[in-house]
Amino acid sequence: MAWTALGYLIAGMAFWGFVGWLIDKYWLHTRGIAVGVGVVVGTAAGIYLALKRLEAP
Amino acid sequence: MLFLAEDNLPWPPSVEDFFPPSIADGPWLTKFTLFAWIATALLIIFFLVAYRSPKLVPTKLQWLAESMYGFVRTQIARDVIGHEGLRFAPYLTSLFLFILVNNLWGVFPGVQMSVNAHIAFPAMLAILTYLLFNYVGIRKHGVGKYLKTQLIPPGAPVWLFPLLIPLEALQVFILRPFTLAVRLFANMFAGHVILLVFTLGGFLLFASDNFFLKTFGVASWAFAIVMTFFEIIVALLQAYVFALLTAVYIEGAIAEEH
Repeated sequence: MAWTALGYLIAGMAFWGFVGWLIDKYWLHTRGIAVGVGVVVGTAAGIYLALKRLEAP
Repeated sequence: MLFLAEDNLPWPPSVEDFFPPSIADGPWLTKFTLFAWIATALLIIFFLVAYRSPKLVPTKLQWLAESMYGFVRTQIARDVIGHEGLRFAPYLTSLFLFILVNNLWGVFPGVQMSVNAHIAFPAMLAILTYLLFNYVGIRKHGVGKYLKTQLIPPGAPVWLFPLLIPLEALQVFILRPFTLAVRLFANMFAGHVILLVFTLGGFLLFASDNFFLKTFGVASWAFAIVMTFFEIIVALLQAYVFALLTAVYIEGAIAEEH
């Protein structure tokens, strides 16, 4: 299911990127650092999840 | 537009084309509700007639009904969910055929508007799927274990949980019903727009004074016919995908941890 893999990647980037954006705006007031970190971490988490869920049982 | 012969031609196609005038007074009976009801009635009558007096050697009608049910039962219910899936076969068959008939209204002469081109119908069907897979999962595992199987990927280290659980929750509980509804709706909506563009565009081109453009008008109509056949394939495929994904979600909900 290729759609599932794509969904995990996008969800990972979007969710943790959004969390990073919130941190940027309301907490640390760093301009963009947390978004960058969030997107990278989210992508890593998405790849990890896609591999875990889709690996041969 | 210099070559516009008929000024009342609704060009370019817009969202307005998806809101034909109401049939009765008020908003309660439109083309969409009417054909949704007709599709329901057709399916009920078809299966009642086909199974009225079932024979060991089936009649043509019975054979057709049996092969449609058999297709969903083996290809979707049994192959995806497994032995436990057979009890979902009637629902999956109804779902598949209901979506299929409503999709085919999009190319049916005289109707030419798929009921599923309004987001309300796919959204309602997606909500049903959502309730169904969560219900069977919770009933089988109980809330705690169900959430655990859905949200925690097997074999992941504990320190990764905070990172992974929000993603799984987003995927399972928010994106699934949303993508399910939008996929069906967008396919039907886009299919109708494509047919409108090539049919109405053909009229516009044919009405021009330029001979060269007239030939393109004819080509545009020919392409509209090709796209109509393509739409039949899309209608079948999207009905199949919807039923298949419903089965995949049910399977994920009732699967044991591996």
